[in-house]
Amino acid sequence: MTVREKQLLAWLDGELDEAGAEEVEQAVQADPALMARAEAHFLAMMQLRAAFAPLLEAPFPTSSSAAEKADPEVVEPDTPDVDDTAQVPSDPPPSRQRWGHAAALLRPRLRRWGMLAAMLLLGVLIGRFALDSTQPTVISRIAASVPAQGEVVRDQDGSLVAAGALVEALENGVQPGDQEPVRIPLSFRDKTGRLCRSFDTARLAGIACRDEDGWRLRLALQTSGAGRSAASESPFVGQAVDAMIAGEPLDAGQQQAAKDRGWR
Amino acid sequence: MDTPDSRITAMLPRLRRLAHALVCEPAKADELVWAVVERAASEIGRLRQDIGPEIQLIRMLRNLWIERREEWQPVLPLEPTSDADKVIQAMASLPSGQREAVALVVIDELQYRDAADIARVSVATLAERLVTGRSTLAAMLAETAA
Repeated sequence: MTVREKQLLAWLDGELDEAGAEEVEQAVQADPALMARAEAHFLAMMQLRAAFAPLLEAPFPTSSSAAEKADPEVVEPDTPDVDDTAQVPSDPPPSRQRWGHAAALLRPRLRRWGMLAAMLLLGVLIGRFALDSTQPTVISRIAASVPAQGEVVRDQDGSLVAAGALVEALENGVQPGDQEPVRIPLSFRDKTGRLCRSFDTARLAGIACRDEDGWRLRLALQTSGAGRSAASESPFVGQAVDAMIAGEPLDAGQQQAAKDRGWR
Repeated sequence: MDTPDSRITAMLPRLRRLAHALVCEPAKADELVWAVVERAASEIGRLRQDIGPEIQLIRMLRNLWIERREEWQPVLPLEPTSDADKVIQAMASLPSGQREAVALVVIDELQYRDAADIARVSVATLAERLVTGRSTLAAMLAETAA
């Protein structure tokens, strides 16, 4: 099958129906040149999203603004002088002040959003593929070529598995002196009975499940470089855990028992 | 709480990201978001009930951007200092129709149907613009990475 650029992009964008997606997926897997094109588009997509993603987390310039000092509670959202302010034609106030005014207008929930946008994700893994049970293996392969993740994940026959420090942490827990600490917020059994653990490293957060070959990644989010975000705080990891979990998360005793059985 | 203004507030980061992708210049992009906030605040009672406020806000932002596009022409930074700068510079170099398509679909992750509706073009035209714009970007960004 000849895959046109338009079709390839529609596939990456999740715009194709199941049959169409399958067709492109098979063509991509069969044709290295097509795979290379898919990778180029995928990487460009990730670079684009990563470049603009910090805006989701960046604080709105409100905290030190004049409006904040002026007690936003005084200003009602439906106050009629909105228009007066809007029509000031020249010499606009410094933007921080204006943001402060926006905050006052849309008050008081504004302060909440800083916490909402926890973590950015180079959306593709999660947004369009990872939660889908028919996760295309080709996407995992593309993801494996992302350099920053190289140390803790690797490609195994087209799917992502934990490697290095991440395996160590998943198997044996977090070692105090580790150079790149890994946190394991949650352990649970999924609906197929596999043992799964959420994890959080400096660059990557997600969920890995133990199977005969090792710890297979079920979800991977690349965290933004600025500051560390806990996997347990990501709404996506939470959603995925909710979708996967059978029963309750394991407590410390159950985790120890699971470890003693080799995480089976 | 799911009142319209809480949904607007929750949309601000997303609007801001979209504005930056369209305008490619931080101060001007924030001006654009501010203009949307002002318009939304004054029209909050007139928002349509049958469509989510999110799409209406994105449409508002897009229309304001079109109205004042001359004023908000991207200015290429002289010396990109970070990877993100290079990406933004590559975005800024695209013709505005292609930049719009990329911003709506790649950055804001809208479906083609919604993006085409907001950009007031057919889905086929949107898809064409995506192919052209993203091929250019992929080539430029691959050079960056090399």
